[in-house]
Amino acid sequence: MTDIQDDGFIEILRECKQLSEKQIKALCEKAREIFMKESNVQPVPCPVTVCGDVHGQFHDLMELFRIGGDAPDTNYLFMGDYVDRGYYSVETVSLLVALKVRYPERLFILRGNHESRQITQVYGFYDECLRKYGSADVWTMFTDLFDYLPLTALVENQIFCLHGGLSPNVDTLDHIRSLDRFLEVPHEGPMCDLLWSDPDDRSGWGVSPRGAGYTFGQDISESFNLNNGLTLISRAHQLVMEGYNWSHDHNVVTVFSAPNYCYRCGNQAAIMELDDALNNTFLQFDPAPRRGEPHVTRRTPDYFL
Amino acid sequence: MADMIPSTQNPVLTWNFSQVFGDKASVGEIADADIISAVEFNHDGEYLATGDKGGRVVLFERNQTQQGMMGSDAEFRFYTEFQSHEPEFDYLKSLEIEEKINQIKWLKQRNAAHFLLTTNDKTIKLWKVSNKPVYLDSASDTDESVVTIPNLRKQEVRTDSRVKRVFANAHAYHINSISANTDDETFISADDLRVNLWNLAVNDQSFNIVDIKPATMEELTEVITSARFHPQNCNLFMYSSSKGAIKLCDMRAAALCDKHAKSFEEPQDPDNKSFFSEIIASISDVQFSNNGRYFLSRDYLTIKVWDTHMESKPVQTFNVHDYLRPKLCDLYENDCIFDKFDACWSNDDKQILAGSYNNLFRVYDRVSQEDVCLEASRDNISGPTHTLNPVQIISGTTQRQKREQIHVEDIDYNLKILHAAWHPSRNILALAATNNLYLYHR
Amino acid sequence: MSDDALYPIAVLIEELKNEDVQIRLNSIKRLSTIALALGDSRTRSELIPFLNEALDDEDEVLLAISAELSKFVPLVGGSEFAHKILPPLEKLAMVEESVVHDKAVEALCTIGAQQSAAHLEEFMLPLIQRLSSDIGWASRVSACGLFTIVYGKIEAAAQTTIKTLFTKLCSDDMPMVRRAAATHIGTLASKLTADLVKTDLIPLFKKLIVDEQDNVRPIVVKASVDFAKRLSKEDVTTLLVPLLHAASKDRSWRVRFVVADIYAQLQSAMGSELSRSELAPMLVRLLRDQEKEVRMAAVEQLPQVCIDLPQIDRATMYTTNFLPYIPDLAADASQYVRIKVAAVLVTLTPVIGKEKSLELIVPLYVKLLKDEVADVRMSVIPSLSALNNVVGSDSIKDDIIPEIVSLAQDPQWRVRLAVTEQMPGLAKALGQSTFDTHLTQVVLTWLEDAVYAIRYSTSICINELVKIFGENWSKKSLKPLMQSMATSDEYLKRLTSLFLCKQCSESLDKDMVNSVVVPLVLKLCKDGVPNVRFNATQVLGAIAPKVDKNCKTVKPMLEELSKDTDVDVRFYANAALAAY
Repeated sequence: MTDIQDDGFIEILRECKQLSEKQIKALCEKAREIFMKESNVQPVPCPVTVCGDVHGQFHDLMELFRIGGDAPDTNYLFMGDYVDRGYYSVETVSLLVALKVRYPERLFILRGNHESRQITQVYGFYDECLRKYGSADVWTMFTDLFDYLPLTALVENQIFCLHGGLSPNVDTLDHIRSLDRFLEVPHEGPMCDLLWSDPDDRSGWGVSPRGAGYTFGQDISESFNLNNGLTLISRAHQLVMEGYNWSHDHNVVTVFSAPNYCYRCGNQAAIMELDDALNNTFLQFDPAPRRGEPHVTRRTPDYFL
Repeated sequence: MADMIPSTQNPVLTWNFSQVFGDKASVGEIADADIISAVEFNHDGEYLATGDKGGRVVLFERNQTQQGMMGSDAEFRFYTEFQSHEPEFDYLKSLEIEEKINQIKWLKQRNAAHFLLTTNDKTIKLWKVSNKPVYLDSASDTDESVVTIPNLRKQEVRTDSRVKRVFANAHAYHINSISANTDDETFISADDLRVNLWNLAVNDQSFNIVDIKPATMEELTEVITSARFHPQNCNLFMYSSSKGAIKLCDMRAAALCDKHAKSFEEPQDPDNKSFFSEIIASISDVQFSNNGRYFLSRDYLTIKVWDTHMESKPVQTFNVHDYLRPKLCDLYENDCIFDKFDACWSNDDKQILAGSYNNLFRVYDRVSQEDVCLEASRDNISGPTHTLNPVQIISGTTQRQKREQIHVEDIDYNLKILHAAWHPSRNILALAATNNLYLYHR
Repeated sequence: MSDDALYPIAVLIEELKNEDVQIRLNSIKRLSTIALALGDSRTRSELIPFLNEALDDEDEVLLAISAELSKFVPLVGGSEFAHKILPPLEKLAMVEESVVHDKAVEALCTIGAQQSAAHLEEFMLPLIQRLSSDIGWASRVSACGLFTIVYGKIEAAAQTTIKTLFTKLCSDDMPMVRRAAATHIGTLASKLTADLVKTDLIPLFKKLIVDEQDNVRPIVVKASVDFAKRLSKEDVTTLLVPLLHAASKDRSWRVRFVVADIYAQLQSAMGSELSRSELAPMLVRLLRDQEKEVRMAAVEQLPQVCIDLPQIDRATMYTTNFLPYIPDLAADASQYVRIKVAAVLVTLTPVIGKEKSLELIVPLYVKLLKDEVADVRMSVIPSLSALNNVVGSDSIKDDIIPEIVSLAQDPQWRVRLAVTEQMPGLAKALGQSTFDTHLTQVVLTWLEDAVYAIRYSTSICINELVKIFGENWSKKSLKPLMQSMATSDEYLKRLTSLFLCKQCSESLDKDMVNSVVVPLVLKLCKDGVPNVRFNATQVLGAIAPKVDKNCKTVKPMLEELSKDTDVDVRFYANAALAAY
């Protein structure tokens, strides 16, 4: 099989080491070819393990794999927000992209609202690239690649997975399929909404406090699922303390996979395992014992002893 | 009652103008970034550092070559300047982090180079300032058959400032103080709820030795406002609180210092209790005396001298600007009541300096119990001796008769001396008045 | 050497002054090559003076220079020219960054060791003199590390100079310098004669051990081990022991911590006789120290202390001195102390014997297994099988096995993981019948654990169990489970059955492989889930050496899967085919 590259990159990245700029370039080129062929509503077979925000918390991503299983033995669908906030955005997104390139049929990664040029300049990924590589080139390569990420996925024609939520401008999956997605996340419109919206207790559409996307009520979720023959909308984008949260009478589930988000929120993380009969099991997990952040400790460090 | 101008001025309270650095501009024209936010002499007093709201650090060196124009040896000249902090964004909390320098601490000099710790709200940096030779190598011979070793010639000497270490991401709240230990190896940093102990050589680990964070934030009644190491004893440090208490901790007693060795607090006078009592009791700065026996605590209206051997009450309390007591309502309205004034000992621990509004500052002589109020200004220098004339604050219906009198109603709250430093071995004062740095001598 | 050969050298030299630190660093790391090409004479007259001039650089470059120069003695023409290398290293020893001057000191020591006594006196001594009296504090710190090169190796007159210099540094104004002196006084003691130690160093040691700075005292306490090794028994008793006793009562917990931390070393340096009379009360005190860090360090000493004691002394020493405090320590308010106790508890059992262990240790052990803090539980678990070795399987059954069974379902998956890792050891200790009665089912249940890491670790554990219990056990316990999992409706179980086959491919015998594994896996090769299919091909690859040569089904199956619709199945089928 000529399409399959060797595991070299993955092994480096599992150690939380960086690839060289040249390697990132090769990786992104390869990944772009793969993403380009994927649909805006990428069909995903089951079994698959669905994951939410990771946000550069590399060590917790490794914990996620310890809980859920390694690729390729376990199939994964990540619903966006790999970069920003945490201290290891570069390593995290490099590893996920490397796994995608090596196992394109085993791992699917969607676009989150943080996979954008504008947001990453504010929330850390840009600065991290600059700090770790001495130039913004790696940031440019990745953010260029982000334009190709699929927006949504559809597991076995039943479970609709995306980062944010629904859009008042989108009624059908076919409408999403027809969008031109190869661009920076716009400030408004359907593509923006899919990556920014949140479910809400109030019915109908509401103004989002985030300044982008909308809030949508149970009525909206129900009719969207009914009209498109779906059983569930699975999304990420919001911190939930238990790691997952059902809403809209089981029409929507939120999955969040960054434990102790921003190293201080105290939340559990979760992943949703969908088996070969689409039964779901949620696995919750806590932060990995060895954390990436600088260590402020109540135990006497060795250098004071 | 108006203060009296002493008829024969006490010579130990006579101060002369030496220098002023900074642009002459009226308050409205001053760029925020130029406002000085930290002043600190190094250990032998040969250098002086200032930090500003723009994140810059400016170093001055003492003019040794010639006697100053004013006939004093108290003159300093610009040495070097560097950008210590830049505005940043906290990705984890979605907050802007100002570049403003909150504190500067010199480390004891190790060799020709100088080391300084600087901090803004979140990040502490260790800077090395040194004179670096610039080399020029002789025209390199690219003749392939003969290998020649390049010949380096020293061209010039340039002052080089570089950051040696960055201590980041260890404080959840804003850093209010940093203090270097006399062991030359460690320093502490304090934020609202915690004091962290660092090793100067290690920046990826910080030891949280004091944590006053209650189980739930609703139970929060006091925050840490400043922290200092003892000037001789490397085990002792103290921190002050917003409730007016000072805790002395002994690191020999236990690894964690949540339990203090001593607590200094004056019981509140129940008769004087008002809405503002708690706010004005908050201590903005504590400072050990040079001999380590006493310490100062500065709150909004007073400056107190404490004996480390007596926890119940201060040995002396000086009113810095008691005439503002009736004005607390206005000062609350304009937020001035939250201003944080530094406390300052003289080199011999006999005098105390306290800043105030209208660019006034007060020097107390602990021996004679006398004090003097002076104004840092470009235009109150009287005649060739440049001696500052004492200022008298008048209130009520008293009319201003002399140039040296200021009516309470005329006090300009935009002009304030929050940051000041006393030379470690001489009677030289450095005062930060908005964007100006004034130097006085005696 | 031809011009062609010189060209790369010219490039390297050119790069010594390149703007790019990385390039500069690369050429510095090849200084030896440059020196070799230049020859010893030009190295001495040109290269070293150049380096001496170019020393104003990044720390990493300076570190590399020290590292290279330490190998330079042969390159400058042998030990008689070794002093030519000293000037740049002397400069580096003055650099304030501690990693840099430490490395320079290391290099100076390496070079000094190759110099003659005459040269040491002529070149190294003045260098030490200069550094010792330098105003730069880093220089004086560096000087402290250089005395071992010359002390005791040069003429008596110069020896006095050395002594004066070191004495001065021991009372330097800067705490960092006294710290450095304290750091090196031990090494110095280990290199000098007992007489010199007593006359020259003990007075300094006495002074430093009561230094006012808290961070000097702990360091010099560490050096007492070296002193104990050099001094006579009598001198230890009269000179050293009183100082150590004082240190164990120091106001600063950091000093007491060091005494606790070096206790076992002290004991072995002093010998058991002195230990019993002089040291044991000290350890008892430290076990009850008010600071948890000190208690932890003291607890940590117990295993080594025990090993070092003569057989006859052990039981009495322990039961009378230390054992009475163990229950309190096992219930310490600090979880970190309990973690340490949990880790050492079992090492006490061989000392005090089975009876006492059953009475005193096992109850504490059971309590720690139930500790509310997971890290404490995890700290006890690794010693499970060791405990069994000591107190015997009969007694362990009733007390410990119920705890293991409950830990097997611990909510913390890392605790469960730690237990899985103990199972092979327990299996050996308990024997098949006891293990089967109580624990086999526990192990097999882990194969259905929600956490992948547990399932994976369990398959490794089972491979070990097969090795221990053999063929019959695998047929009886493993076969039914393998078969039921392989035919489960849940794909995760089918997948786990393959992980198990993969792990056990090493331990299962040929019969089991051919009669059970092959049919089972071949069936899973047709599974609907691609992950199951490619794991099946991996198993076929792994068991290849054990598959019956006449088997006509495996290879065709792999060939079929090499044309599978799924890319990963094709990949792994091809990989497995290589084994057939």
